Amino acid sequence: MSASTQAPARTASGEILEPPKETTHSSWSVRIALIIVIAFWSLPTVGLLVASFRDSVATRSTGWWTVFTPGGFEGLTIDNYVQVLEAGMGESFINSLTVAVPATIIPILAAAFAAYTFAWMEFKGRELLFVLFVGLLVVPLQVAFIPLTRLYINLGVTNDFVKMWLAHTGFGMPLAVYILRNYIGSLPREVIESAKVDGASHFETFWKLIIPLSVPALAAFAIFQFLWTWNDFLVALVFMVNNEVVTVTLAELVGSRGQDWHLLTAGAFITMTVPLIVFFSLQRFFVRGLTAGSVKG
Amino acid sequence: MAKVVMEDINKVFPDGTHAIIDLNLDIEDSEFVILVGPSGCGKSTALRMVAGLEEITAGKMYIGDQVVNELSPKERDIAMVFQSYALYPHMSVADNMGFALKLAKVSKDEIDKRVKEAGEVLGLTEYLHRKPKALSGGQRQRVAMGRAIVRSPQAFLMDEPLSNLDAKLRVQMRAEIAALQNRLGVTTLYVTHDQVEAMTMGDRVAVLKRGVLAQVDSPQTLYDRPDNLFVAGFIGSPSMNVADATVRKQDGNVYVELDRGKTSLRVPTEAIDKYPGVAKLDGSKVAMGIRPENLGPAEEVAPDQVWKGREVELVEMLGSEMLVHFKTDSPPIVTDDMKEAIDDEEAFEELKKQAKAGGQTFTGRFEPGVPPKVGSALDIGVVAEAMHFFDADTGVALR
Repeated sequence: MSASTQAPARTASGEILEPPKETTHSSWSVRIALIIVIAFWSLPTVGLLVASFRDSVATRSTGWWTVFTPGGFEGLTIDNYVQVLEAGMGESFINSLTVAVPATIIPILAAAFAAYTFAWMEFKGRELLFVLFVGLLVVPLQVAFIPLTRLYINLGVTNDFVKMWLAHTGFGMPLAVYILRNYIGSLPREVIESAKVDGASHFETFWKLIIPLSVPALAAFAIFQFLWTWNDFLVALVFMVNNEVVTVTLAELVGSRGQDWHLLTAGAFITMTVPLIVFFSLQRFFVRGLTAGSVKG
Repeated sequence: MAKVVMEDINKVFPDGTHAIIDLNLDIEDSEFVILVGPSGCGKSTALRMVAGLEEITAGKMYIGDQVVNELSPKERDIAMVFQSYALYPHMSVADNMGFALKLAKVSKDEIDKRVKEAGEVLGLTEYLHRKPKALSGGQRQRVAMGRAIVRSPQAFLMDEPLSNLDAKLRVQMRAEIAALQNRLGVTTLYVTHDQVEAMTMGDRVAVLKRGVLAQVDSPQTLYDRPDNLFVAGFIGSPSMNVADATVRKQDGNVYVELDRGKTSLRVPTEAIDKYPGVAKLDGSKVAMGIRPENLGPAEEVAPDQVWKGREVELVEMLGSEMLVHFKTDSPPIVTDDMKEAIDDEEAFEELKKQAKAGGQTFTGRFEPGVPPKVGSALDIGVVAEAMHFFDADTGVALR
């Protein structure tokens, strides 16, 4: 993942290297291999999508691929979706968004501040502090639950969402700081010095220069953090008392109804839509570096 | 606009490198001063200390009448042009130029007006809405200049601003920057390693050698009256020919012996007036320097100033002139000064080799004409009035 967040390869003169355009045999074999891998990779998702439109009888009796046999399309229905939404999936969906959006924005913002500090502000013990901070990556999530719960009780934090935001922010920060510091540290020194000479304070440099220039890295990390908070089950199970997020609802869907496969598929598909939208809307930042043209070319 | 004064400035980096040693330099109001020197001589460090991007270890820095040692770049009110231009890639040309004004809370109308004016001066009017990546190298360079001039700062600081341009554009921008500075009258400190920029652009040139100011003077004075061997060797292209020589007195005249005693040329009083120290010597070793344009046809000088029977090694026809490289038996001076002046490891190694062999190649600048045959013997006329003399060990001019 770190590869995707690094500044693109450049020539000595600072121009971004275009990927070589190849139409050789090797590139064809690579393409064919890729297509095969993608096909295998996508198969379960396609199966899930198809199964979510089949009724309970069909799901239990035959495989989803029978849809592609003659007459297979006849039994398809949207009943599963209706039932799932009636079972509270809609509310969970809103709850999940309420958890995931701030739990993505808060750590990114905090981490970007920290990353700028670690990369561009001189102070004693900077390296040590950075190593300690990133070292927190090795702390397993599970060991933090009991101390965190005690802390929440002592501080009087009772709101489900606030607890989730704080927990996800804490768990996400070390990686965020690490990734963002590497990116922000690779921005051209002269551009930052130029802002200093132009009279920008650290705060102005951060907002007017660092943030716009770091969009690719911020977007990349946003995707990871959002997917992680959206798909999280354990943290939500521990800290959410009065509300449910989609993953918990999904677990209950299959737990309370035993063999309700047909509902599970529809529920899973609803859950998947948001990460897909997030990924496709931000993925262009993965491949684009914004620093093109800042230094000579 | 203000004068910039450096008083006993020192810079020691955390790793112990003493980059600037007791630098004293006064830049008058509206003056254009070039800071020049071989790579690693500390010229950029000095500039960055004026800008406030580098801390000053010791000494006092003044901009105007104010000591600025502890002031941030912002408080110093200076504008800097970086080697890489350092444009803000996500902002348009107009926003790039107006950024400093915006930070200074200047009204939007005023910013627009000043950016437009600067755009007109620099011929950027039609590019104001573009992003830097959609500009050519020369245009980006102009934007960097524009960013500096919209601010009307106390001083301009330029760090090799032309080194990323191709040769033709560099010539053009060189003239443009000099003209612009002249018109605006802003105190300017300009760092370069380029000889031609140093000679053509500034009012005065400060030559740095390993963090020490070797000489500061007008370009022509540096060329005509170098204070030491380093400046003599560094300024000028092709560079000054420098050889190990011996001064002898005979019949009231001063002679300089070359080719390890085989050649003796009379030193005229004009040269002795410039280097009176030579008259006090007899039989001592000196470093004799002579510029290529002072070596020419034998007919043009007195008979006792002809260097006879030199073997032609190479002739370069340059159209307006003809460079003749010829062999001498005079060993080169291989000192630290010369190493710094040559500023090229390989070339210095070659010089060392020649020193061991006991001779070296001199270059003479002749009027274009029929080129002498390579390998043939040629009598060279030495315009001895233009000889330079330095102490062979310390490299100090014998004045």
